[in-house]
Amino acid sequence: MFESHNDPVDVLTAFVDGSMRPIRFRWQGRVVRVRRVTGQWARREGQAVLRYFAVQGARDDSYELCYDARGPSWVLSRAWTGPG
Amino acid sequence: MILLVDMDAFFASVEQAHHPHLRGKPVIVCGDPSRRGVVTAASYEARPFGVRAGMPLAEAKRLCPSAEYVEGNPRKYVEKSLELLEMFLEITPDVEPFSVDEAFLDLRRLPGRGQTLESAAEIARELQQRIGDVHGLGASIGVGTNKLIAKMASGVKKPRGITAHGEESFRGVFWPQDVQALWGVGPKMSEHLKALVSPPWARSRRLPGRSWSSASAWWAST
Repeated sequence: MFESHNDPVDVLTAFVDGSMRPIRFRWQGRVVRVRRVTGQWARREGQAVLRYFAVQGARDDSYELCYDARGPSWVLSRAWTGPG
Repeated sequence: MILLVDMDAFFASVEQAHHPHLRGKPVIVCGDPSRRGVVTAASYEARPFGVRAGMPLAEAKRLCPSAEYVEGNPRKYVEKSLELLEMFLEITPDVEPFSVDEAFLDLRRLPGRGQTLESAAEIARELQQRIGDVHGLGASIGVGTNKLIAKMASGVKKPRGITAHGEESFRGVFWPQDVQALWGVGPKMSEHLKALVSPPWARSRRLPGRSWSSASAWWAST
């Protein structure tokens, strides 16, 4: 099942043609390679805009990452790492 | 002609699009799944189990324990809704958002296209295909000569349906139905309408079907 988190993570990010894309991130002691960005959305928080990415890992794992340009910093907000 | 685009199980479908492991599975969008609450949206895979929006979460878990329970994210759905509106605006400047997952598209000012049911249905087919290709989402689209017909037609065939009705075929399909089937008519309004067109001796809970049709016709003509 999905688990909610609020874990700061280090994210290797690519900036290409004016858009950004997470490539891989370190979470709970392991490195997750982003196979695919499956969705993006944004949420305004005061003057800041938080940018969210739904990403798929190398297996069937699925995550939501949030980028806050004020830090700048990344947070892992949700993870699905397998059934159960 | 008017189109009403109604996104199929919108919240659940957005989660399925963003998280591939959820595709093809019963998905129930709710508040915090570990707390008491209600079902916000259920994917089409969850509906055969009897799960419906508004149902207490405890009941949904009893009916469909194997479903994936996902905490809803309204901001995400609003963002996707805005992206869809941008897509609709590429077809016509006359777009009227009706809710987060529904919008009317008025094709009457389009030059050369969308003026007949057939042409409007063709535009609806192209749009439905594009919504699937670009966003990975399903939509049911109603086509009609006015908003009432388009709105009611959109609910005839779901998911991923396209239903077109002119006024004549609309009457054929909807007038025989209970007046409550009409858009905007709830249980109380339904009772009022039935009373309006029934003689005093027939104003009971068991009204003849003919009166119901008359009420539908009267309501649709206003």
